[in-house]
Amino acid sequence: MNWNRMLTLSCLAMALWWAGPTAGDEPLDPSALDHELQALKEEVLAANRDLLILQEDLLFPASRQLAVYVSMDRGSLLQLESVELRINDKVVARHLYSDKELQALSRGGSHRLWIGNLPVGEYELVAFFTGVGPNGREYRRAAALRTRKEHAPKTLELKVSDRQQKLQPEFVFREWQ
Amino acid sequence: MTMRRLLPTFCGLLLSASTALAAPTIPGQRVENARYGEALFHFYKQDYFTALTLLMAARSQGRLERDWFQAELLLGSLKLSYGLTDSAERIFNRLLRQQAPREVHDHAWYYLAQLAFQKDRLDQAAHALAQIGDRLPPDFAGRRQLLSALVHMRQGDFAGAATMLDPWHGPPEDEPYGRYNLGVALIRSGQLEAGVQQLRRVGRIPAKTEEALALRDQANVAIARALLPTQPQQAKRVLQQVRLQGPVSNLALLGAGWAELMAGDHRAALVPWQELRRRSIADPAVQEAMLAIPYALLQLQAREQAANLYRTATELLSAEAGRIEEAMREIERGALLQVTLQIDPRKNELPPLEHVPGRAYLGTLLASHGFRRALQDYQDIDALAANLRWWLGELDQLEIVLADHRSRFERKLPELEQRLAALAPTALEQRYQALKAALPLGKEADLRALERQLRELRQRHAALGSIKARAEDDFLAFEGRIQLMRERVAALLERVEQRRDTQQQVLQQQALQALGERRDAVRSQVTQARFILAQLYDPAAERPGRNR
Repeated sequence: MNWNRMLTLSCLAMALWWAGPTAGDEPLDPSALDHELQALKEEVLAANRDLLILQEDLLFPASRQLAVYVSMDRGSLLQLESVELRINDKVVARHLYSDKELQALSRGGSHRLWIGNLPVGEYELVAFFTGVGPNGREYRRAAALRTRKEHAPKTLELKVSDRQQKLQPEFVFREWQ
Repeated sequence: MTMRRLLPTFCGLLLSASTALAAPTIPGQRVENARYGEALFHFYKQDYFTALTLLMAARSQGRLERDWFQAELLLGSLKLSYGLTDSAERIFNRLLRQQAPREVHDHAWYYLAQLAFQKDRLDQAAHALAQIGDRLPPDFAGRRQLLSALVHMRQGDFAGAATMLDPWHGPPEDEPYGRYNLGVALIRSGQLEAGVQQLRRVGRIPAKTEEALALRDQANVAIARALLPTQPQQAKRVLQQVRLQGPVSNLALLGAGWAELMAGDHRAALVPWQELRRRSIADPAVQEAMLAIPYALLQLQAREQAANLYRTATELLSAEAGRIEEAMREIERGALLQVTLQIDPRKNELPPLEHVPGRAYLGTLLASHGFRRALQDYQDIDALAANLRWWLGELDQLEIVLADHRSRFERKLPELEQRLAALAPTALEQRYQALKAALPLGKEADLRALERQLRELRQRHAALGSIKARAEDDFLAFEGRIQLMRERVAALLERVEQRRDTQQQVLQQQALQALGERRDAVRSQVTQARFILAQLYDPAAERPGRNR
């Protein structure tokens, strides 16, 4: 029996244990394909950007546009559930927040609650917030704003923050420049 | 289980330079711009495409001034996650040339280091890492350490890699991974004892979750691998701590057999290997055991038993090679893509392997950066195609809206023209001229009020007249923009769909290559077994002096 040869073969078989699967040994990126794909993706993204701008220009022209965003500064005193927006007593938007959206708000994101067209004039905006407030109680509050819409786009922020002194959440409208 | 952090451990560090996204945040900076806040909202919802598009639109509309640096960082990192490395690199380099806060520069250097590493430009990656200051948030600090260690390891400097990982600066929950990597780096740098000591600490962590248990097993396998050549008994004891069922249990059983064999106890080696032999032959560790068992039996002079087992191994392994070939044919028919499309390559979860052809051999490939990058590209292309198709429908809607605007305007046009006629300053002009001619010299001041009225009337008339002209221009401009976009989208859609087919081939080729390599390895095992069998039945092999 050729034991030396046998041992050699068995040592080869041991390679699996010594080396382990080669998870990190990946083929090199075929660079030509990669550059071609990057260029194509850039073109599609640029087209998508232009389409978005075209859509906004046509549907919400700057002279009539009003947008309302919801944001949160900490917001630890309110577990927000939903927001309803009324303009001149007419409901224009209602949104129920998912956990993922609440997390996005608490990390600094702003949710566009409504965008629409309004002619020049005076308006009253009222936002109703519902959720679970301090001490786990059901919570419902409103924030109101009288504002004048001129011949220019207007962006409003509806901010939920904590009023630490009173241990109550606070809701404020402000104009975003 | 976080596959990204676990699977690469067989060959080294636990975290490859990943494209997983972390938000580039600058402490104390509040969002100043609605559009940036909106993009952030979609970013945190992991709707990266919308976030990217919104940022690009806001940028081209000049609506990001107040959040410029943060928005640019976010844009760069989003582009990076989309595989747009060239333009991401340009963004980060541009930020470095600007008078930005130190935090912004630190983030930009980090991303540039990651990019350079991905492109295998190791010196450039090391340079970028060295430029990072102390303003990165903790999760980035951990990533930076791992990236630095990876760069050193790829440069062959394992001692340097170990230095980078000690002490751990990342989030505490990732500390065991940092320690595991430190242990591997120390062992590879020749500091066996120190490395084993670090791995032992990982191997003893109280583990309740599957991920923690898997990491503990992994650490024990790494210790055993390091100790096996010189201290097989110790290696065996460590392997006994690995669970009998888990991601590395088969590997541990195989190693336990080799440890017994190296310690000189061939009979004891048969115990873990017999256990392995009862498991699915689709695992490479089991395949290796199929040959290891008869080898040990030969050492124990059980020649006939060994011959029988070599024969069985030949049959079973040949059949397995056939099954791998069948899996390859299924992949050629497109079966892989249907399953892998369910994977989110930006997340770390294990893919649903049940329906993957050749699944036992593709787990590692599916977890690899190269395959996930290619899969992500495929999914991105697919999403882009769907997005373009959606826009084609949306452009139809925009045309309807435009037609509606035009018809409303046309309905109002007679009223506008009536007002225009009523406002025509001709009558007033005539009256003014008549009065002016009738007034005696030096009394022109009496006409000033009328002149002012006339001026205002002319302005209002001109303004009203321009509405009509401007509206016509706007309608034409919108029609032109819609038409241009329709042509652009249609042309892009055709190219994107072609590219999707190419990308499908790229994915299939990667899977076929991995399976082909495994099939060849199994065939080679069959050849080995047949060769030994032939020698066992060859009386000439017994003759003295045959080896010479």
